Amino acid sequence: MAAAQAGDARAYDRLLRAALPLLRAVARRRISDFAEAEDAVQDAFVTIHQLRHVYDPTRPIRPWFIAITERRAVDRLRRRGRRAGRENSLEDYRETLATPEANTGEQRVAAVQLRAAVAELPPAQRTALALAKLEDLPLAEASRRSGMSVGALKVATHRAVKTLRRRLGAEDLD
Amino acid sequence: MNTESLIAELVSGLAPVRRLPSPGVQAARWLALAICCAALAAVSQSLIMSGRFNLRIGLPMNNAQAALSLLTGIGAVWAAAFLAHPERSGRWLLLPLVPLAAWLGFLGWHWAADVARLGDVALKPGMDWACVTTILAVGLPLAAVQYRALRHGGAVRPVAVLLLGALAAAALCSTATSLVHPVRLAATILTWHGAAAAMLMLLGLVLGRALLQRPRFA
Repeated sequence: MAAAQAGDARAYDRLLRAALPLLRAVARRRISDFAEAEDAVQDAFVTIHQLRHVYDPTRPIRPWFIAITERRAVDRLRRRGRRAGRENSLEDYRETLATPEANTGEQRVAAVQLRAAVAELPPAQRTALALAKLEDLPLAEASRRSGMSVGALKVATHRAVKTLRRRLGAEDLD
Repeated sequence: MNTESLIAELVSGLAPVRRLPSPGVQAARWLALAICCAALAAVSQSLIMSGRFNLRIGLPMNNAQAALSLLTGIGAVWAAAFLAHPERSGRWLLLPLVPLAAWLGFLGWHWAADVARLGDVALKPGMDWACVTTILAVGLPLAAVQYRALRHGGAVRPVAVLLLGALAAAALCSTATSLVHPVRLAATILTWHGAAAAMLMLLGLVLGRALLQRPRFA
């Protein structure tokens, strides 16, 4: 550190890299979260850099590093505690906006998924579903408009509904 | 940014730095300045109040409490200088607490003795604006000078440095004013010198942070 105080960048680089395992051990002893502990180590390095003129070379450097890292780790824990006290989990608040129209996101997503699933059906099933279920036509009228027999229309509608139930995960709920 | 990159960045911008003097030297320098300023303030106060300089050391109670406040001030500046260094023990905090407790205990004991001797009169503290204004007017700039000298303490123990710096300034100013303006009732000293010291510590805590070095992070 005495060399670093005199401006020797290579000595400073060697010193900081040699101190890294010590600083990580000190920070992780205080903070269980890996990323938070690494942030505390970085805070400690910045403080060491800012206070390098304060260090007295006649004294051991290890307690100096440890004290600074401990202080930065405690600061991190305090900041995290304050942040946690101010925040609420969004999971508890499904409705985020005051107007009812603004909270229809999930319904819109479901409608898009249904339209996509219908579009992927074979043409015969899609036509049968549209006439027999969506337009709710009598089977004879649907048969006349589609050109399919009543039996084929019933089978195609049944298969279309089954395919949609499978694709949209409804069968998992049964 | 990962830690290795941070180290590389810190190393790349390295410039030589001038090493700070030891905490003992820093404390001694401030103490010399503070004693000069407090003495000048006391002389001015004496001249304003009586038209001539009067060093009044006739009251043993006053002398004893002035000595204890001086010890408190010396202990506080010494502790602040050492606590501003990260690796120094937190037990330095005890150094001014011992004379401070003795100072307050001594005044409390004298207050009880005054009450026993004089009755209800001793319960009412007299006004002592001269001492309060001297302690605040001289103590505040002295505390500011100390905060500037110990600004590195802001990155490690800011609250201790701020409180002890203000306590040191208040205690030394209290000593100086006591020697030119002796007060016979302990209640007056305890109330007004105590209030001035508490106010100075509060101001130091609120305003002094701006003078300390704050840790800036990447």
